[in-house]
This record gives sequence, structure tokens and C-alpha cells, in this order.
Amino acid sequence: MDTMSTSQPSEKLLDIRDLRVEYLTEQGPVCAVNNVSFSISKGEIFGLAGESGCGKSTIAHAILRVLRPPAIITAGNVFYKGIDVLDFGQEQKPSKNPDANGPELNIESFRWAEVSMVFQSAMNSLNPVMRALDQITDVIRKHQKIGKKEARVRAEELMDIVNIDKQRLNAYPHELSGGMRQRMVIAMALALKPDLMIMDEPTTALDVVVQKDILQQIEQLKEKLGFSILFITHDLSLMVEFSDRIGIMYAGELVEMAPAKTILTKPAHPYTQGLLNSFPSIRGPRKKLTGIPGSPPNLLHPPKGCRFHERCPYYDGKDETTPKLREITPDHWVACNCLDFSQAGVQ
Amino acid sequence: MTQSDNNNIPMLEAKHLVKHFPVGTSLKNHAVHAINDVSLTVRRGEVVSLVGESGSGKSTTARLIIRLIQPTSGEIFLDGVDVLKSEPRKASLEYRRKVQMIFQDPFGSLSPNHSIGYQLERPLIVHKRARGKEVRERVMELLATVGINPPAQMIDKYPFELSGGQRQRVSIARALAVEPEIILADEPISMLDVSIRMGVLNLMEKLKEEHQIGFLYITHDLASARYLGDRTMVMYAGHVVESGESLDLMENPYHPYAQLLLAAVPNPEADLTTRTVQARGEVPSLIDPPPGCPFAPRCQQVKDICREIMPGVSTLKPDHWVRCHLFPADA
Repeated sequence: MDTMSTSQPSEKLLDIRDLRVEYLTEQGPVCAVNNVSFSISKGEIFGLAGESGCGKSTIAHAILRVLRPPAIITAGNVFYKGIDVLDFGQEQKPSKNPDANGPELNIESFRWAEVSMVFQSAMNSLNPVMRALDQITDVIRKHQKIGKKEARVRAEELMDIVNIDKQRLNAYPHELSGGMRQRMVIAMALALKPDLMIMDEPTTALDVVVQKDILQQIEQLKEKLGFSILFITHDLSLMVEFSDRIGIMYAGELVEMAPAKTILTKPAHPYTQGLLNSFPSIRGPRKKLTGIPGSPPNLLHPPKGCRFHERCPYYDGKDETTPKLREITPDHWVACNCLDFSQAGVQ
Repeated sequence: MTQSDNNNIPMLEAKHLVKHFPVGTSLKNHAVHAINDVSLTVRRGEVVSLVGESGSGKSTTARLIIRLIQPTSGEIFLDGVDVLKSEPRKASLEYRRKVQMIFQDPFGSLSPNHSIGYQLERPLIVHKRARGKEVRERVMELLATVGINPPAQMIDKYPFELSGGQRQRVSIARALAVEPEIILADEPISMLDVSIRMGVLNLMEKLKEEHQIGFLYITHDLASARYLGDRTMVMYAGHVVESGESLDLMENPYHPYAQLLLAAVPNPEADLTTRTVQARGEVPSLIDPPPGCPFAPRCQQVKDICREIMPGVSTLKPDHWVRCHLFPADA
């Protein structure tokens, strides 16, 4: 989508264009991510929100190239610092960077050193039979030629950053609480000072108090170290609070993209409006909320045209083309055929 | 007791429930103090929300009340009858009819081997709520009540053919089949897709209004507790630390833990950095905990007495009480 390239390309750390990912199942291909384009600038927190099964995690895995069959990337580009990540072979040879000043990367130096990931459940992403220290130094020594002692010093620094007592480095994962394990995973993601951190539901399994504590720490770290974050969650209120810009996904498609506050105050897509209408507030008078009727479609047989039309209160049955993202106000993109956004102050 | 104040008679009342789970070996006896002195009442046509972090004892409370497990001590009254005394070994059919439960996982709580129709017929037959042709009619009625339209299509389906929201509605229909007085709903929406959660919450609200069913709504999500619950009780490490009318409690929390919890709820209108963390740390171990208030190690306003004695109940307003030494205890 050429309409997407509005801001200066040099600012873009990550630029995803028309990404399409399919799962080849026995019943036929399931298009989990359909023509998704967005970009993340330096130092930005970009949020991807949507229900389970809408393709958020698939995008994250596609960026890191860790999708496994039956999932395959069938179309699109993922540019990281100007290099197409999808061109990486499994071999060590670095890809040519079209930008002369840009870095040369291969799949190994790209993963973790440039882009790291915090997976959904910390319980499963740590090795249960390795001490925390060994897991962290493993990561560091794989990428940097330093000795064990030096790596240990680095690991201790990381513990300081995420606020865990250094003594706990000798613990096995089962000896740590859920919050500590999640911090450990974040420390590992920070170990090589990546420029982009992908956080896939980093706090979903945690309690609200711990969640807030960890997210505040991440935000402070981000200010200090200047990395960007791709933040994935289904909790829209958390998302609005934490992110700078938000993309809303539905059934594998990006339906709206705008700055966080705009999503909250002027949601344009009917799905976004419905989603906001699904979270009761903790403040103010008690309002009756309706949610969204129906349930998300089966992606094996996605609805024709707009994938949301079966649940949409505005659908008039006329337009059966697939809506494209268009910019209704600066930096506010919506994919909807039914609503007319030409007047200002659309609700 | 007149008919008019029937609504104020506590239908279900639990008093000083305690549950300790034994752990350890025969040489070292330890106990997990899962529930310590929990008292609650649920009245006719009222939703009581029980909120707390994971491990605070919410689900154990529900399992004690439905009598899946036996309390270490305490009393449970249903319509004024001490059920642990009158039916000590296991719950009677009548008790099981009056108190029903909806579980968190709609994928695990319906039998995959039976059709939806069969699963809804069973309680009707076992509890003798319908016979002969009435059974089918009643099943249809139930499905319509929980918002499944048209019900006739659903009867011959199996759980795997249903979406999460539909399954949870069927679970609610199954609980409704025996015309219960109380439904214990243990995180009924936390495994559902975000966009269909409100539908299930609104259904529970409707059942409360139309059928005068009392709900104990167990959740970790304060916003939905406030949305649905007439009253809210906040649990921490096996104790109920504060209880009050939902809007009032969320507006003016008194207990330091309730304040911490409410401050941690994501607020889209504020920035993350503008809100400060008041108390670090995590829930203490429940294995042989020290005496005193469980929140004392994290509390900013801790006093010496907090580490020694568990505070009693301080009633601050009608229907709003707190267990904290910062407030004078009731005489």
C-alpha cells in the first residue's frame, strides 16, 4: 500500500508492508494475517490490539522469522533498518543493505541482538532445568565474545535494571514467582540492547499490581535506552495507557490505526467502537455496555468483503468490496466502506 | 419476619470459613492457609463480587460453598439452615439444586461426548424438574433464556461445534435448569473473547433481575466486578479485607491493599508514569503464615500491632467494612 508511506522513511525502524501469513491446514489455507501494513519509529511504542485469533501473535512471530509450518509467509515485506527480514536465509551470510550507512545483518545477528521478544507466558519461555544465570549468560555469550565472569557481571547489571535481587540469579525458574520470572524474561530480552522489543501479552498472566509495576519499569527503561516496542495485548485500556500509537486488528486485518488517545476519544471503525464498549470503566457512573453481538468469524471461511460486516451495526448490505485503509484525519487510518468520514467529528 | 423484607434475608450465609490444605511430609507438617475467616452473605436477587489476585482464595471460597471440599471450620447457612450440621457428609440433592456453579473454562466444563440437549436434560431428570415431553420443551426454553436463537438448532450439537461464548451460555443454561437460588460464577468471562464478554455479563444481570437469583461473581477484574456487582468484597491472602457497596468501595477504598489494587487498574485517561507505585512486593507465602495482617509486609502505613494480630472488622458506613488496624474495630 503506497498510501502508507507518509512519514519520513529514515525514521522508520520497522516497516511492514502488505504482510500475508497463511496456515496450511487440512481443511484448506487459513489466512491469519491479510495484507497488514504498519511501521514503527525509533523510540515508539506501537500497540497491536485485537481478540484472540486475530493474528497479533502471528505478526510478531513473522517479524522474528520464527513461524513454523504449517504457517508460511505468502506475501509482503518486513523492512528492518532498510533490510528485508524475509530475505534472510538460514545461512550466516549478511544481507546487503541498500542503505549504505545501515548495518549488515544476518538472521542470527538480527534475532535477539536487534529484535528481541518477550513471549506470552514466562512460565514456558524459561528452561526449567537451567539456572536463571546460565540462561542469561547463554544469550550474551552466544552473540558477544566475552568470558563467563564478564557475562555474569552483565547479568547482574540486568538484574539491577529489572529490580531483582542478584542472589536470585542462582535460582531455577520454579523457585521464582510469576512476576519475577516475567522480569527475568524481560532482562533476557534486554541483554543485548536490542533496538526493538516485541512484547506479546507480557503481563496477561500477572496480577494488576505486578503488571503496573513491570510496565512502569519498561517505560522507564525505554526512556533511558531508547528502544522501540511492539506491544501486543487484547486489553484495550492497558493498551491505550501504555502505547503511543495503536493498530486494531480484526480477523487477520488491520482495521484502524491511530495515536492512542485518538483511538480512545474518536474511534472510527465500528469494531473499535464495539471493543471500547466492551470494557467497563472503574470510574464514573455505571453505564450499560453492550459489547459486540455475534462472535469472531472462522478464518477458514472468512466473510466476503469486510470481515466485520456480519457483526456490524452500520452494514447496509450494499458494498461487498474489501475495505482499504484510508486516512480520515492526519495519522488516523480506517478501513471501512460504510461510514462516511468526510465530515469532521465522526463518532 | 414479614414477606416484604424477604429480600433482606440472607439467602446464603457463610460464617468464619477456614480452609487449610495439608502439605509436607509426616515429619514436617505444614498447612496452606488458603482461606482464613471468610464470612459473606448473598441475598436474593443480588450480585456479590469477590475480587482478588490469583491465589487469594476466591475459587476456594466458591468450592467450599458448593461443598466440593469440606471446610476446616466454619458454618454455611442456606435459608437459615446450617447445612454443614444438617447434612454433614455430603450435600443433599436439595442443596445442590439450590446452589449451582458456573466454571471458568467453558471448554472443560461441558462433556465433549454428549449433545447439548442431553447435557441440559440430565439435571432436569435427576432433579425431577420435568418429565416426559416437558423435558424437551424446558430445554428449549432454557436455551432461549440464555440468548441462544434458534434453540432447536443447538440441541443436537456437540460442544466442539460451539464458540466459547455459546458454550458459556450453555453452562449458564445448565445451571439454570434446576431453578437455583444461588449461582456461583467463578471467572465466567475471563476465558472468553473480549467482544463477547459483555453479552455474558448482561445475561447474568438479566437473570438476577428476572429470576431473582443471587450471584457470587468471582473475578480478578475490578471493572467488571463494579459493573455487575451490587456489593464487592476484596480478598487478600485468604482474608476478606474490605467489603462494601461496589460504587462506594471503588470510589473510596479504605484498606491500603484495596487502594493499591484500584490504583493499579489500567486507566486509559491517565499516563502510566503519572501514577506511582505505592507498595512493591508480592503476596506472601500461605504456608504457615505468621500471625497478623497478611498485607503488613507490603503496607506503607504498617504499625507494630499489624504484625501481631489480625485486625477485626471496622464498620465505617452501613454495609461498608474493612479489616485494618488504621480504623477502630467494632465493639
